[in-house]
Amino acid sequence: MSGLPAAASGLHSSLLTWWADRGLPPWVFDAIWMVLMAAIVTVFVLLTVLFLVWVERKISGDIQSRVGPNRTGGRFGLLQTAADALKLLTKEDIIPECADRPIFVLAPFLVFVPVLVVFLIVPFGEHWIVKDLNLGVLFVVAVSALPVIGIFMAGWGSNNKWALLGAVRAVGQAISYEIPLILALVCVVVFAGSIRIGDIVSAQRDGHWFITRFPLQIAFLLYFVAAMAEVNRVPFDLPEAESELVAGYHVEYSGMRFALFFLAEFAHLFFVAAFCTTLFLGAWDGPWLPPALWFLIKTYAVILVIMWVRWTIPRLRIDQVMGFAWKCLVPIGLLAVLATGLVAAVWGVP
Amino acid sequence: MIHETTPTTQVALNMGPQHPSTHGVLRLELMLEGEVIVGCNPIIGYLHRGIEKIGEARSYPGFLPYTDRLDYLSSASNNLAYVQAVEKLIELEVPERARYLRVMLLELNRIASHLVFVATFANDLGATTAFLYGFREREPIMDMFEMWTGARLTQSWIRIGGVAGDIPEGFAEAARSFCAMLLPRLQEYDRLLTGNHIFRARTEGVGLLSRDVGINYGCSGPTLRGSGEPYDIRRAEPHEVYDRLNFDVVTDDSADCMGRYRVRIEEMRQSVRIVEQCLSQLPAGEVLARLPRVVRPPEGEAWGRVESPRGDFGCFVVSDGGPQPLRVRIRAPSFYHMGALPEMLRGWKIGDVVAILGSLDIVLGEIDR
Amino acid sequence: MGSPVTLHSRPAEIALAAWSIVKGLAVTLRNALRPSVTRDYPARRTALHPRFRGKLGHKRAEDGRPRCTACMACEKVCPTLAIREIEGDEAKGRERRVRTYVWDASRCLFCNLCVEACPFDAIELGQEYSIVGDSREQTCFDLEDLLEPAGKGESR
Ligand code: SF4
Ligand code: SF4
Repeated sequence: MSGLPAAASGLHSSLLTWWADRGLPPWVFDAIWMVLMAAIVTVFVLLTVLFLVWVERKISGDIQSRVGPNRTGGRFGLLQTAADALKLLTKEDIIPECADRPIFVLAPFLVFVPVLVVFLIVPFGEHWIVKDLNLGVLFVVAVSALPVIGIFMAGWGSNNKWALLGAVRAVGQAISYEIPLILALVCVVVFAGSIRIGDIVSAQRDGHWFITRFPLQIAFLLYFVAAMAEVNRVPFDLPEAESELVAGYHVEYSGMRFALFFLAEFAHLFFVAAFCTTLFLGAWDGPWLPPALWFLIKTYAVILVIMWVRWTIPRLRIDQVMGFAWKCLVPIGLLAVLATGLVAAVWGVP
Repeated sequence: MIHETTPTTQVALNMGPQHPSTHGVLRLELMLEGEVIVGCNPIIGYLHRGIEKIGEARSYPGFLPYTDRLDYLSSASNNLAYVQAVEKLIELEVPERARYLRVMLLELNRIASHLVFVATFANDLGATTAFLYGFREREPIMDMFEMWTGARLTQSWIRIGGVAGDIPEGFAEAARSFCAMLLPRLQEYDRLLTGNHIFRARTEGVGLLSRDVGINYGCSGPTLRGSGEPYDIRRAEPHEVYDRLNFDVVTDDSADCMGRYRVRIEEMRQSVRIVEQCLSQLPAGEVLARLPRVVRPPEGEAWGRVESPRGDFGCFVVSDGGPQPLRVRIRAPSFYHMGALPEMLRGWKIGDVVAILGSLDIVLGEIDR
Repeated sequence: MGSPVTLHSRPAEIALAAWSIVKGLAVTLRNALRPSVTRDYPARRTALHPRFRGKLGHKRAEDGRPRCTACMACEKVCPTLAIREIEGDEAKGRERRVRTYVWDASRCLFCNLCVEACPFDAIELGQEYSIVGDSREQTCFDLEDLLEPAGKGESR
């Protein structure tokens, strides 16, 4: 396989030997190594997020016959988001007088941290996974449900009716769409026969991507729609519906705290696209190019489609969003699970 | 429409005056049960400039530029309503060519205003892209206005006795090519918005305004025509040369947000027809009647009404024979639509407030005056 | 709620809704391929049409003197009192020439009434549009600021 992961694992084993020679316990080394890897992934994710914001602005610019960022950082405004982030970080930190201080302050972190944590199990390439938990899928489901607590805290702690309305919407929506999402995951798990990410990926090797296998296409669409709702993108952006709720749950936030919400949203977007790639598009599987590149290409393709949809259609109303989840996606999800089970039982999983 | 729910506390929510979807500085005091609206109290006046009072202290021609600032999305119709009233007072004959030019200016303003409506309405529903498309299509009109009148928005080009200047060279071609460009773009809107099921789910059946209620509240224009009443000042009381032009009064029986939206889209097509007819029928001649330096209408009163993009725009001028009006009164259609709003909102959700408010296409400049 | 269109009642409707979204996507894609309509403003400015109504300007006659005879017609007609402090020199009638003239851009509506009222065709609303200032004083322009540069008038 390509040189970099091999070199990394070579470095890992030689360092481990060096460590063991000193008579130090290997689990400490493992812990340090993990923290290091996690730090690298975090930095990578943050940079990607900055890039994604730029991509989104450029794409919306193209679609809307505009130019998009074009000053900061050369003709294409590549440094625009970096500059914006810097501006947000240096802005005055405002906490509303009547806000519930501890909750208000804690909320952005509770949204931001889980979104980063889930990246631990993203297989950027062969062996390029920080920790291949044997409970991988379950871990994702559990951790990616956490931000909604932070969102509700933000809405509640702001002591603002708009924020509260946004938070209520966010909770309802996140919980509703979690179910079709999990049903889609179940289909994948049935085919992969494991909830470990490594196994799911290796089940799709050499072009046997799950999206090519009947009836996982249904699960793919299900996941795609539910994921869009999970990351609060149009048509499911009700928690922050700008023209209705001004900014929803983060209406009272400014400066760095707002930046955390903003970054978390894009990091989450990156994650659902990466996870979609992992589950259905064969992760890093692909010919010629290095695996990590394949992974990024597929992930970006998913992201582009999500953005394209976002800049095309209007948003739903809250009861329509809920109705769509419960009356449309959940039944489809149940059917998909049934079909997957039948296919797997009758023909067996290849 | 209120759901059977366990009793909850009602929450008062102030929507505006600083809110992205109140189209200016409007404040809606909403009473909510959860997300459901049980009461609404529109509070207006944040943009009050006392324009009617200013009218009493300006000369007759001098008040004209102020009327631009009423319904600023279609300043020509404001100008025209005022000017018509004054012309009736002094019994002035307006040259034929000027009448055609006025109609053309008015219809171009109507297209521009309806494009802004489509843009803001789509934006209220979350379709940000259509917002920019609407403004993009409006830009050539603004450019044409600049070419003809020298100003993009507040043209003040209609004068007592005609228009201030003839169309320049190249304008007719620009107008024709714009009309040719607009029609396919409107089809694009149909694919992007009108046919979109999410858009339909958000607008169809939402914000019903029955024909009778609409009439009782004094609604007019596309808002009333969207409820199936074919009332159009251009046909009911033809002003300028409308009686000589072919166009359909567009109505829609659905009486909901979608109906009002469809009426406006179709009216743009009709306006294109009118502009093209004006261009081909345009007679030669003067564009401004001769007028004394100081306009002193004889004692009396007159009422000018114009079909503005929002509806029945009226201007009532009372003269005591002096150089300044004794009283100027303005009938702004949006004001009456505002009155019907609480009735339309009851039972709908916050997301629908912006849809219903957007579908009325109000302009605060004329409501608050 | 009784919307005629729902997004979940029948499978056919879901397919139709999806198809309508695809049609919308095609529209946005087509527009993405069109060239952008915005301009890089301060760097590249669009040409204004000759009738553009911007900053007020005083014209010069063939002999280089201002055409304005301080007849006050513009001051009288201006609805917002944006024109004030007009004073002419000692000469009388058509030979009189303006000496002071103040135009307040922050009051002006750019309505063109003054230009139309001027019997000597002495003023125009020109092409200059960035007439901003930090204070009320800075938006007031006197004759010196308004008069077109000498030499330009001769060729008129
Ligand atoms: S353009 Fe109108 S407002 Fe401005 S100075 Fe002339 S008359 Fe006064
Ligand atoms: S600009 Fe014209 S109208 Fe005004 S004072 Fe001079 S000559 Fe008279």
